Amino acid sequence: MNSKRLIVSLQLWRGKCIKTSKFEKNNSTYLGDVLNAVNIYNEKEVDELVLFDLEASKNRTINFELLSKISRVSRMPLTYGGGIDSLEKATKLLSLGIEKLNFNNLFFNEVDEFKKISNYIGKQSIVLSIDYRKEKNNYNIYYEGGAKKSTLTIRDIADKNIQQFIGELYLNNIERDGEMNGYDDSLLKNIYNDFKIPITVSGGFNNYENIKSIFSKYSIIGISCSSLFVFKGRKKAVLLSYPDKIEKEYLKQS
Amino acid sequence: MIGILNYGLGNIYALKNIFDESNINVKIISKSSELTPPINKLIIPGVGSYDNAIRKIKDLNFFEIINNFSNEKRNFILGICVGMQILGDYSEEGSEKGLQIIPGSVIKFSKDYIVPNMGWNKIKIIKENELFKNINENDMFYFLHSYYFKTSKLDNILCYSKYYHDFPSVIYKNNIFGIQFHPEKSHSAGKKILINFNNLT
Repeated sequence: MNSKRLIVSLQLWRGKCIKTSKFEKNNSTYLGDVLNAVNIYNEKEVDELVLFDLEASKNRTINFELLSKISRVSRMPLTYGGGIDSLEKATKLLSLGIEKLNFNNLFFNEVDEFKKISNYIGKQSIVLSIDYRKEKNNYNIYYEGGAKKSTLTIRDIADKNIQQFIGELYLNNIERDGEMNGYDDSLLKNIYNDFKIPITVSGGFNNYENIKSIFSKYSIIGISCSSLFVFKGRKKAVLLSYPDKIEKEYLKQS
Repeated sequence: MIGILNYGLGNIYALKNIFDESNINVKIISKSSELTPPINKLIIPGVGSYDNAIRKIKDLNFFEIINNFSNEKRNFILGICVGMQILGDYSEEGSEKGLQIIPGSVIKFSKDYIVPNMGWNKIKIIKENELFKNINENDMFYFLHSYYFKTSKLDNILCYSKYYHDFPSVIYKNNIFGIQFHPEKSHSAGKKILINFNNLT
């Protein structure tokens, strides 16, 4: 069985695509128009597109108008994250045709509301982002864009009473965000069997071999890349890319 | 003419956009009074939970109307994902009864599996149908579901897909079709299925 997804993730700020480094907005590169990016990734037949609106996450205001435009043109599954703090917002996003909703702050701030949304819309549309830093051999979980440290551990999230509300776990290694210094699977290796839901990993992927090595180790896994699919060359010129059909098949072969 | 059911779930505008690009006229159906000729084909999209879908259909007075629509021999229906699952009798996901148009029930994947099934899968066609015109067995489709349609009647199954085990990924009865994957999010292969649905006679 081969259930591997190669995902493109894009960060939004004021309706435009940017790419952060180590989650720092001040340390980000402007990429361009998001609708243009969606059209390009449509052509490249991307497995999934994940959008994080960093402004919405900060202000809790969702740009429904832009998301509606994106959803109309996207021929690939969409996940959206940023500022989803109520059932009303969640159902509105689904009605726009967003397949999956990515949660972070709400889970840590108001877990009951998070559970309510999951019960109502079904857990297959619920993605929980776990942003972590490896500190003195501990994997510490952060939220609010990496600013606040949670007391929860990844084992707490794996607990049945929490896991049952989640459809996908999305692991972000904050320190490797935008760094393109290789993916570190030390956390994934430890927790992979604790979860009965698909896991998606992101942070640091720097080339196709890096992707292939993770795909070959885990039968059900999503790999989410941003920098790798938006930059080209050592000087990081903006050029949207994605493996073609044959390359993608090669990467996913076990 | 195709009508796309607008009941607050699923990607109606992505569907409409695909038809628009091919210069195929479709109508968004938001009220039960709109499900009348020239609409002879209905697409029921779907994302989310089973009970939520059924309740929304009931709230908008579509439940009976869709049933009546399905009884008319010249009419076609295409249910997508949860829009497919609600064509059956009931689901383990909820307590609401389904539309009961295609016999079968909706079953949860084993709890020993990694669920939901999320990702790209092939289809194994067991019965040729015009819905699969120009589709080959290497084409991939996007799936996102924790439950699958189970029917004891082989006659109602057009193709299977595999997630740990085979499950029916397209079911049908006469002119009524249910597909578990998302054609509107399955790039060129998915677009072919939607255009084929439009061309069914």
